[in-house]
Amino acid sequence: MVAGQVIVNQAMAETRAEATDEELEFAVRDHARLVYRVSYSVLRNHHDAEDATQETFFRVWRYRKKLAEVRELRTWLARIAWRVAVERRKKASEVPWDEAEDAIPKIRSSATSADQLLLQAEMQGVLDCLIAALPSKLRDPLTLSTLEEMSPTQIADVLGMNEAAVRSRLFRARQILRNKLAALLEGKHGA
Amino acid sequence: MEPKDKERERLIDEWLDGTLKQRGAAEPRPGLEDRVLASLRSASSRMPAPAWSWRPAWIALAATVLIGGALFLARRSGSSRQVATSTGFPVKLGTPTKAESRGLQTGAQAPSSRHQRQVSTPRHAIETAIAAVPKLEQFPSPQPLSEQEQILVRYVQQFPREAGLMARAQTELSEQEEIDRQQVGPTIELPTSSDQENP
Repeated sequence: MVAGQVIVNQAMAETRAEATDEELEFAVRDHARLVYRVSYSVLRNHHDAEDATQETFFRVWRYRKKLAEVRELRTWLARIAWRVAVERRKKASEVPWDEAEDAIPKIRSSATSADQLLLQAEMQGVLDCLIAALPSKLRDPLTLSTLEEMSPTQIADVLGMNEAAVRSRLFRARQILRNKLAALLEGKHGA
Repeated sequence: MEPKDKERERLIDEWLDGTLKQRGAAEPRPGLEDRVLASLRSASSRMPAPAWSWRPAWIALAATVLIGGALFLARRSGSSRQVATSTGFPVKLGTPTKAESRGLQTGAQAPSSRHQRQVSTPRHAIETAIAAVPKLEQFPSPQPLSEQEQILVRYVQQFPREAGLMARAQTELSEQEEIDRQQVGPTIELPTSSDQENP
């Protein structure tokens, strides 16, 4: 009787393991890109982002028994990816404003107007510096909002805050970036 | 606000939207899913066996311990039963001796609770041992006569008349001694020298 129960339990556990393996494979196939993009938005490096993606799915595999209980798989995966990436992110997040301002004169030398200045490829680097210099409570929602897959509701779920707070912080972050960019462009005109 | 400034703000907004969208549109190298799955498979093959695979071993171990414990207890109770039957000493239950009853009546030596515990524990053990032994027709069980008793039996058989006379004389003598003892009364114990030295 006991031996019979053990055999039945083993068979059930194997069936469950096969089911969770299948679910996990579907999750990888469907959401690996999202996980990668979340990781990349934080780490800004392809190699690190791929490592973070691997680690994210490894964590999912370790807790694969919970897969059946997860309601929003996308949000759940994005939250894990976000945590993994933030853990991997080093002190590089704290960038002073001066770095962004120092980059501008190099670009100015080759541009004649504000329009031309904005068309320069180097302006992408300036924006990275400006975003990195934002306080983390503004930077995190802005970083996730750049991903087209993430709605404000999902961003709120990932960051563990309410949607209104996400919207307000996004507005403030964009306002700061706009003002800083305007100031930089005015500096160009003033030069 | 001047139209020039408005135009610049619009330009900055558009640029910001476009650049942020580009920022989030990073594409992984092709085959990311396969690489992730391959690493997961290799990780799962490295992991130890799940906990339920040890269950039969645990059940077997528990069964062995239980059977061993049961055998040990059975053997132990059997040996104690053998001891009880082999000794066969007479045991009195419930009826106190004269000395015990005298002590209880006078209250000279009130039994302490410790003493009661000491008495009660072996009695319980003895009752258990007796319960395991079948009841005998004669109690205590008959013992073979000693050498002196056998000599006495042979003497009585050979000289019955003399033996009867001697027995009667012995009885009368012991009765007379008993009467004399009662007439003299209890002896008065004089204090010893050690009592005088240590009041």
